[in-house]
Amino acid sequence: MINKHVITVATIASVAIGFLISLQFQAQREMDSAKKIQQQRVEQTDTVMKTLQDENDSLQEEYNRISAELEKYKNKKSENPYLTARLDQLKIADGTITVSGPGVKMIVKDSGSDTDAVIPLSTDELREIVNVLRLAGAEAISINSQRIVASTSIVLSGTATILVNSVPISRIGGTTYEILAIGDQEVLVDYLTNMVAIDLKQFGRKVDITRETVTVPSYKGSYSLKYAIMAKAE
Amino acid sequence: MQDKKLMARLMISVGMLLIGVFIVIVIKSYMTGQNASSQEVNLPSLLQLEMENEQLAGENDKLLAELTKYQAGASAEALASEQLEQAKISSGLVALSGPGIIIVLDDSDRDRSTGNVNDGNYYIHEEYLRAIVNALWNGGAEAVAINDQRITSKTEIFCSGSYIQINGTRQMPPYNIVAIGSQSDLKSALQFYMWDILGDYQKQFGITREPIYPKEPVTVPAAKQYTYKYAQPVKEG
Repeated sequence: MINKHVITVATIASVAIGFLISLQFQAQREMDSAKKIQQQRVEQTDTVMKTLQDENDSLQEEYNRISAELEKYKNKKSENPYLTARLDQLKIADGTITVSGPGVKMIVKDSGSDTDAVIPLSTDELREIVNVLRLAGAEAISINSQRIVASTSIVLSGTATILVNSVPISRIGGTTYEILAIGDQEVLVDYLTNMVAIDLKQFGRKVDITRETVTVPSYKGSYSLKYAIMAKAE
Repeated sequence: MQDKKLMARLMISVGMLLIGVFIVIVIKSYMTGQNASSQEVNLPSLLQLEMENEQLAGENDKLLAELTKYQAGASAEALASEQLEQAKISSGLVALSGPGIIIVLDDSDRDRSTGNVNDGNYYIHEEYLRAIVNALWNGGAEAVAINDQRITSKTEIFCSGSYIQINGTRQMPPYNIVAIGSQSDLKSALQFYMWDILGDYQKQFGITREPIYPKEPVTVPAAKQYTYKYAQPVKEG
């Protein structure tokens, strides 16, 4: 009786073990080939990445060279301070010039060990932050180095990538958002603390608001009009 | 007899142990296969770099064109006033007209039962306006206004209870959103989640969500000029 029992159990166990061993081998084989493909892909990506980085460096160099040259001409010939001042004002408004001034830096983290965040920051929330900053009279705003201008759109591409000015600013696996704004520090801090931070913290995001002199980068997009013309004065 | 029973117990125990170990190994090997590879993590930064390069290249072209004009001996004054005109347009200080779209949003005029959880769905809220304006910019709009308030880099769209504050002015429904741009591009940019929800509210609660694609050009008014007090230009280069 017992003998029979032992044999049954032993058989079942052997079959199970055999099954698992073969499963394991197969999995290992698949893993190996997957790893090889992965390796190749990573190498390819690295190559592309390096090419892009090189391109970026040379473009940056070119940019510095041209703007230095341009600055020489401008300095030599700017004889009309009124015109220059007016142009500067308009360029702050359309965002095409880098500006600095008193303001705030807000850091929002939607992932990581020091947060209890479960939901990533949404485009709606980013737009709301921008809206509150505008209400607080912010003169220049940027999110992760993208200047927020009138025509800035904040949209989701796919399921996880947030585009600002059509440039991706979020990363898979959590993003740290650095939001800069120039304006009246008292008002900015007050509005951000009471109208933004409370809601963000409710969802476990980590929010840090500091007063700083900040530099907000210029808008890199273009303003060419294809459809609009100047309206005739009525 | 006692010995055999012990044997059986031992065998079962050993067998179970082995099965357990193998299950763990199998699960583990599958799990590692599912970890996000470095390549996937790299992809967004790759895209980011590509976009940045594109932006930089565009910027360089713009600067080079300007530099060429200076080098060709154009007068600084003439160039500056040309730049001034351009900057006036791009900062929203000039009224523009062109092909475009008009979107009318209005509260429901249906009888509202009080205390109902759906009461809010009879009204047009600030986030609808923001989401639609955002979608219009995304669709390549060149100028946008709500109730004749031009949307600029400083424009807030903020609900203050009974009205929505835009450029510091009180706006009440109906809200007329006017945008200049390609009608087909703007139309397809409106295919987004909240737009569809508003369509449902229109049927269910009687709000107005009406896109109009006029044949004649639409006009967007100029914004008031603002004098910047805190931001100082940083000269590049």
